[in-house]
Order: sequence, then C-alpha cells, then structure tokens
Amino acid sequence: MGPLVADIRAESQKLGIEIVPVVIDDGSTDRTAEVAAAAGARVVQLPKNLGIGGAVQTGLRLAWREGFSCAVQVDGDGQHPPHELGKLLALLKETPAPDLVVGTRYEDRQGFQSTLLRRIGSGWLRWVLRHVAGVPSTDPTSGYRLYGPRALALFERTYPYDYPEPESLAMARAAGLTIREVPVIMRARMAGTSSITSWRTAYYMLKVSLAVTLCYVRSVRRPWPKAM
Amino acid sequence: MEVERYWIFALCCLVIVGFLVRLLLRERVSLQHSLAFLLFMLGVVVTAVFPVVTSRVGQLMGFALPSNFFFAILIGVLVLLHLGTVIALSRLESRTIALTQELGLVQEQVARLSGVAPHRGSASESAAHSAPTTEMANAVSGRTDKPAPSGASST
Repeated sequence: MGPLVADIRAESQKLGIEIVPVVIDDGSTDRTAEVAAAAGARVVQLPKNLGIGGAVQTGLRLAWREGFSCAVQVDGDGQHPPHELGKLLALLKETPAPDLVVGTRYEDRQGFQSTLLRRIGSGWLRWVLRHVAGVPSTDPTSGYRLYGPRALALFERTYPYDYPEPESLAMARAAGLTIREVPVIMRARMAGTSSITSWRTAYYMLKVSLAVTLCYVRSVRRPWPKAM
Repeated sequence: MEVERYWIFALCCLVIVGFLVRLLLRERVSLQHSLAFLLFMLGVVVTAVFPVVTSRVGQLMGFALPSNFFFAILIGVLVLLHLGTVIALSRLESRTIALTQELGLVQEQVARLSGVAPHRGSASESAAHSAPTTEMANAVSGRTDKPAPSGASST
C-alpha cells in the first residue's frame, strides 16, 4: 500500500496535476490505514466491512462532495500501476469528453484468465453487456476506472454492492453516459487474492446477468436514475 | 380421536407463539415487524381447533381435500410474509451502507481537522466474518472551475 500511494504522488508531480490519494480501508485488520496515511494518503476507515461496491462508492461520494473534477479508482493490491494514469486522463481532453474511462488489459491475458471456467465466464459477461446493455466492453471486470463529473453524480446516488464492475457499466450506459476504454498494462497483483473464487462464479454470473438486464429494462421504462 | 390430533397441531403453533412472545418481551424482535407473523400463527391455531371451517371453505372454493386448501393458504401467506421481509431487508441494507459510508467519511474529516493519524482498528472492532478488502479510490483534482465546497482539502 505504501509504494502504491508513493507512486500516485510521483505520478501527480510528473503529470503536473493535483492528485489527492484516498484510501478506503474496508475493515482490514492489518496496518493498511497506518501505512497509507504515513505515505501521505487520506484514509477513510469504514467502521463495518461493506464489500467492494460499498467501499468504491465511499470514494466516489468523497470525490463528488468535495467537488473534484474527476476520480480514478485503483485496486489496493497494486495491479493497476499509477504510471498508466496519463492514458486514462488523456481521454478527458477529447471533445466530447467521456464520462467513464475504463483501463483494460492488453489482449495478452495469460496471467489473468487462468481457468477455462473463468474464460467462459468472462466471455458470457462480455456477450451480455454487449447485446443486452449495449456496452461493447473488452474487459468489463476491470477496476481501473476514471469517473467524470456525470459518472460521479450517478454513482454517488446509486452503485451496485457486490461484483459491481460489469453492472456499473450497464448502469452508466442506461443513464446515457459515454464509456470509453483504453488499454493499459496491468501488473499481477502484488498482494491479496481475487474476490472472485471459483465456487462463487455461478452466483456471480447469474447475479450480474440479471442485474444488467434489469438496468436495460429500467432504462427503457423510465428516465434513469430514480432515487431509491 | 380426530379432534385430539388437530389439537396437537394447535399446541405446536401455540408453543411457537409463546416463543415469539418471549422474544417480544425481551425486546429481541419488535412488535411492528412480528405482528403479521403473530396474527398468522394465531389464525393457524384457530383453523386447527375448528377444522370444520377449513373444510367447508375449502369445499366451497373447489378443493377436493381440506388439507390441500389449508396448505395452499399456508404457502400463500408465508410467501407474502417472506416478500415483506425481503423488501424490509433490502431497504435496511441500503440504509446501513449509506450510514457506514457517511460515518467513515465524517470520521476521516474529523481526524484530518484534529490532526489525528489513523491506526489499526481505530474505526471499528473489525468485521471478523469477511475477508478484508482494501479499495483505493484516487480523487484527481485537476485545474477546475468547479469550486470545492467548504471542508474540502486542497492539499
């Protein structure tokens, strides 16, 4: 965690923009918070474990409330190198600027897509997103993301709680946001394990497929979003 | 003989009702959320004591066996009760998550304003049931014309 925060600060200097590193500590029992704070990050410690969706939304809420022009989500395990940040930010300079930028892995997927089941799973996921939600994503589970103001406004209000990445793409699309992808180089995770274990894959696939379909139905039926 | 068997069933229901009442007295469950269940159980007791009512109504509605009618009603009511629970649970969950996020954000602000560094377990007695995840969101503050509201850090 320490090196990651340091990398982000270094990148901030290199790019010449002001970046505020914020670490969301979702009930970790190690010294994550201490280390991150020592490295110069702002640390939000959640009093109860919320899971990935709730944690990510916390960061987005912070960015939205404090009026940041955009927010970048990075995994805490170090698989999203900050030196690729420039590639995501570059897309914001385009007109019209996209609302959501997803950093995707390069086509070489050897280290990441290990099992056959997982390959089938991600293929299915991409198919559902493309044909039901209308999001032609090559890497829908990527957590390396840049949120523009409109995306912050949407997700501050509503964000999926478990396995949020593919579903949030469908939500963004349904809300009329523009999504762009940019290939980035990702590292193998430096620490921690994936939250997606094989025995949960069935639940994951079913839940995400249904959620994506629901997003589509909602977007057809009435203007999104409606506050819960 | 027939009557006696029905009464055993009624007794079972009454035991459950008794357990529920005990929970109510100890304030483990609230009356507001258990009222529907309580009334349902008492209704079952009544049908067990007066089985004639069940068979008569069941016949009128075209059920061949009173037990079929009884089970159909039972399942229907239980499904509705469960649906109510699921709705309440979902609302509770989204509220809990929002409140937890709010608390975390406010604590961070308080700590920052008072200059206290965070440390392990300062926020909680840590959830032991689930694997800890650390997510990192990186707010990028560019040169923007959007003014930061009060309380926002510019460092």
